Amino acid sequence: MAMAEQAVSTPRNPAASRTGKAAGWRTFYRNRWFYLMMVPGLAYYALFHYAPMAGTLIAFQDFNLMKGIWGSPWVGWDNFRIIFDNPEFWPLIRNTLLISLYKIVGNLIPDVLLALMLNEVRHRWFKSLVQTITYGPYFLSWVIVYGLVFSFLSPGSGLISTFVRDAGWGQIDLMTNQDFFRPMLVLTEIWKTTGFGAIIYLAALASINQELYEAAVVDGAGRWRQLWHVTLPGIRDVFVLMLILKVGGILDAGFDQVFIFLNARVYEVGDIVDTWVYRYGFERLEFGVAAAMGVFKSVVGLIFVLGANKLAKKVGGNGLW
Amino acid sequence: MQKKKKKAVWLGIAALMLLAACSNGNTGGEKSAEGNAGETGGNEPAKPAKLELNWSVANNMLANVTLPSADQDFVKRAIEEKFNVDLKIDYMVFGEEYHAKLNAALAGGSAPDLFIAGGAESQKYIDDGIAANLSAFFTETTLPHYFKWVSKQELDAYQLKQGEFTRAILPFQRNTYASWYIRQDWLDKLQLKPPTNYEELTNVLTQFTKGDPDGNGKADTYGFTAAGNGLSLPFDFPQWLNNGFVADFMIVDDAYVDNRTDLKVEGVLDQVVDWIDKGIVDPDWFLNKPPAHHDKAAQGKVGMIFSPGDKTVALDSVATSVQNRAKALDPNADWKPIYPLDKPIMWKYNVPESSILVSTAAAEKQPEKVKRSLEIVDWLTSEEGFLLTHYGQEGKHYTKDGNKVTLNVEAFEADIAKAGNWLNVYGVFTPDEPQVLGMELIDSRISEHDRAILKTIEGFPKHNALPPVSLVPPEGINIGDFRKEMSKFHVKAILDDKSGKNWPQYREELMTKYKGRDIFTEYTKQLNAVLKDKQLRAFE
Repeated sequence: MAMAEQAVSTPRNPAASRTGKAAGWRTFYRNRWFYLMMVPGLAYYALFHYAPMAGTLIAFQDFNLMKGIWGSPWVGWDNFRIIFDNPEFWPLIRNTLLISLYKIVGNLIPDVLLALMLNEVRHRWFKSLVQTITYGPYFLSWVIVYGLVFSFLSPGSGLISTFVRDAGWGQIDLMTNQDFFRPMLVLTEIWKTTGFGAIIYLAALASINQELYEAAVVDGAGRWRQLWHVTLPGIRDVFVLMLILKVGGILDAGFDQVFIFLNARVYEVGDIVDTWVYRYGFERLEFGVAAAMGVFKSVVGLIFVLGANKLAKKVGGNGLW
Repeated sequence: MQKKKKKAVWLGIAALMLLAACSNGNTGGEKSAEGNAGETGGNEPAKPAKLELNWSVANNMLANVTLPSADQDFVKRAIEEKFNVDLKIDYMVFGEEYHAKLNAALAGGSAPDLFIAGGAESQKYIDDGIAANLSAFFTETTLPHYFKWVSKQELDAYQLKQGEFTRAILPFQRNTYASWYIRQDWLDKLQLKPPTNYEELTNVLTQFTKGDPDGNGKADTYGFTAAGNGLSLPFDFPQWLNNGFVADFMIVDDAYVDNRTDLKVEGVLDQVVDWIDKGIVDPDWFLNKPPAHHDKAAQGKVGMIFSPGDKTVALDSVATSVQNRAKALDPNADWKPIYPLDKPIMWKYNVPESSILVSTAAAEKQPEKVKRSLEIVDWLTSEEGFLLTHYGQEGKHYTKDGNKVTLNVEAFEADIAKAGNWLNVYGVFTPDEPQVLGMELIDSRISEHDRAILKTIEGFPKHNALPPVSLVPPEGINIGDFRKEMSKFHVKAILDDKSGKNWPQYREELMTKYKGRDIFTEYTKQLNAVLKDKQLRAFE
């Protein structure tokens, strides 16, 4: 409704620029409550997202807590040089990208599948029940999830390890196994977030025009045909949107999770950019280097978002903007 | 109507701006100082202006500790009245997380006025200029009581640069309560004698694993467990000591020995692998996060554990001790301290590890805060402060007759022990050692059984590992990184190579690529500066 109003009241007549200006104010005034509602949101972004950006300056400083941003010496690109010269750099990037990629691929499909399955459920109570149960793990912290995984997989007392040992199949030690570490991250992430991810697709499914289904039935389409020709195209935009958003965070492989699951035997496959930044920034107080890594991460993220958006548009989707 | 709405909009915007303004820096300290000067200025001119103090403290006794509400907190009240301050004290169990939290506060520009930090961490704070020079504030005249706990010589040796006073030693317990503990009832059941050397110990622990000591018909017990925290091979393993390594550092044949990176660690690794192969060691030892290993002991799953300093493991009088928790599940459970090896020295006497630091911000902008904070520290280390922060209020929680302090157990348990053990927060400034101040504690909760246990643990042979000195790695080298690589190699040898045979090669990598030789050559130099008469050989 607001959009319709706006369209009507912004006449594009250069001759009537004065009246145009007045009309602009009138529109503004008429929609003042909507603008007011925007203020908290804008203030939030300004305060917590844009203002802290000034802090990226310390990426170019030998930052000292006592001297602060104004007093710390400028060092140009030195911090970035430290990062790129670090022998750990490429393994870190490799681990981060791989874990992220596995998670993006591994997570998107289960989200959609769960949403599609729930969409086909006829009984309302059953649907709510399944939704509640699958949504639940999203609220658990990673510390608790780690505790659960530990009680299943710990080499000595874990439920599964004990079962395997008692069955005579030998001793398993999955939590310190380099081959199993990344799959374990993906699996636990799927377990924790699928219920939440499905909600977005359920919303998208609910917004598909029912007449399309009716028309498809008239044309003789069965359930699978409807799914293929109506449902999936109906949620394609949301799917692409989620993909772009996730690709933007490709260097965020999930600090909370990895930090807790990491141990000395899986550093080589599990140490990611964020755990490194934590060690550098918070344990060694080298905030300049840590911030430089953050800036690098953001730049890569931005490139990926722009790239993914362009790609999405190219293959016929709508993209983000 | 329109006007009303307009007013509402402005009100909303104003509220928002106020919210934003609140997130600005804290200037409360000065504000309250002004406010109070007016109140007290008239009749009590001697009383100094009220100050707001922020402290951050930590030690090992602060797990599960919570301060009571302000009206119950008689220590806070005593301090605030005596020194005319508003004391805000942050507390947490000592460790990596504490320092991460502290670092976050420092990075956020809200450095506590006085804080406690670990030895290595305090070096970093001093290098970065976060900790202030205390030469002017911290002297035998300004803190007379403190010097009953720590000597001037120790303090001087503890400084990073001679002649510059940047960190004070947090008074610490001299004796250590390191001990292994064993299930005496399992020994009895399997008719075994307490082990006295490594071979006997291996045999006993094998029996604990294979002989079904808990009698449930299942092979579900292990001889030994530890908590590697997913990182390292802890000192819990008696193999360290069995190969002659006492704790972390020592001096042998006029040379500094860094125990965990010595060439002879190969023997330690081989013997640990041997135990693992024999099935003696709980396979969770590496991933266990402390205190998971003590939990397993309490659950009756293992027969031997180690504790580097917690003296309560086998005590009856502490409700949460391993002994009491084990007894709740198995009435026969009987944990006893044991020294299962035949080596002359078991552990080292404690060395100062935590420092009291004062933030530069406070020292430069409000030196009065530093002065007042240190006055409070001195009071906390005095007899009055010690008694209040360890045993509560006189007459209520304890009675004092001469030098004998008798704990009123009922009141103490109700108001303090069962109310979150909160006195520990203020008690961090002094160890629980009344004898330092010439007093003796009579605590009726400590039974004959417990007294015997404490005596045994205190009596285990210990030595002073190094002369009083603070070892500082050369500029630009991070000791934490070195230790991390070291631990990775230990773990790799044990769990991947399943042998110590590659250790010499790993060690060489540690010494060269990770700069071990530079670090320990520097340490030797620093030790020689203190050991004037008897010089150490160069580190090899």
